[in-house]
Amino acid sequence: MKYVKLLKIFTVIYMMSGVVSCVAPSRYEWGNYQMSLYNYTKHPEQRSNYEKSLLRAIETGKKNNNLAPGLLAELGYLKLETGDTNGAIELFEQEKKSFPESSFFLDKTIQSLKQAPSS
Amino acid sequence: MKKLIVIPCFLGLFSCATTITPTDFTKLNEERPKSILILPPLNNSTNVNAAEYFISTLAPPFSNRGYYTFPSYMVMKTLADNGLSDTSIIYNTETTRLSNLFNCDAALYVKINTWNTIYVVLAAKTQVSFDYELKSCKTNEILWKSSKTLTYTPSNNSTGNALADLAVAAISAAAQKAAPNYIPLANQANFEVTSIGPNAIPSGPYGLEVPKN
Repeated sequence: MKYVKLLKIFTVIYMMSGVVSCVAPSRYEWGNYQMSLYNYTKHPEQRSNYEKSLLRAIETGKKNNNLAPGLLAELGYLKLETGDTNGAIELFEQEKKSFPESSFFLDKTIQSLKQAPSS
Repeated sequence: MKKLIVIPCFLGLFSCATTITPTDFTKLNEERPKSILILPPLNNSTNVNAAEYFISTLAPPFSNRGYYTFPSYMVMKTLADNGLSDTSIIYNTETTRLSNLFNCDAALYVKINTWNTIYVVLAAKTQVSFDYELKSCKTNEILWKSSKTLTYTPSNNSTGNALADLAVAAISAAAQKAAPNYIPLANQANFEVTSIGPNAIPSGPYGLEVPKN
């Protein structure tokens, strides 16, 4: 048991020490998107963690004017997965406004949602 | 003479190996894509979780270079809804089909060649290796490509006590084996191919650099 504990401590220290030497600071706010998305794809029960980290990254990004591309749509899709069609559409509209490159794709998605409401 | 050339070549392979080939940016400069559709990575490694790990690392470095990156997870699910859940099928599909779904300017294809940790007594070595290809959604032609292999071995500072050093090495190797630190390595690889050297992807419309003419 002691060994396991020691191992955990060393793992944490090691992770904090970091492998990466020279990654440029991101110009967008991604928050904990990477790890929470990975956890969600592997463990669907981690849904609320993924949602929380998206919400936090979006909130910070809006405040600092560095909202990351795609996050509003990712959150919208998460709402769609739980049946909240209206909430999803609202977020897709916000993504379109922030990043017009997404318009075609999200308009198509919204259109298909409106044609076949509630899945 | 030949021997002298061979030795430095081998040395090169063992450090952070990078293939530097002169890059032709003509097509990329002609098309000037604004948006990049990040496709689920094609996993040729022995690690079954590699693709899920890796997909979450791709949007930040490419958006950082000034491109709109589509929402990776939503894209993956939308592809599946349209009969494209098998990555090997996606990678053999013309980009025009993707364009019909997403109206993307370019699509990013990434192959994972290596994603593993080798554990040898008192040392653990983590290695990742990727091939990147950016294709035009209009013409299916390759606009930019690159590849990257990175290796990481935890380094241990000597304490001056050989037995203590052995214990530290054993523990750090065990820690690396138990929780290999792939994400920082993947991030580093993505950062290097997108931002460093003559083969870095030129800045997109939202980039901080003024595009070269």
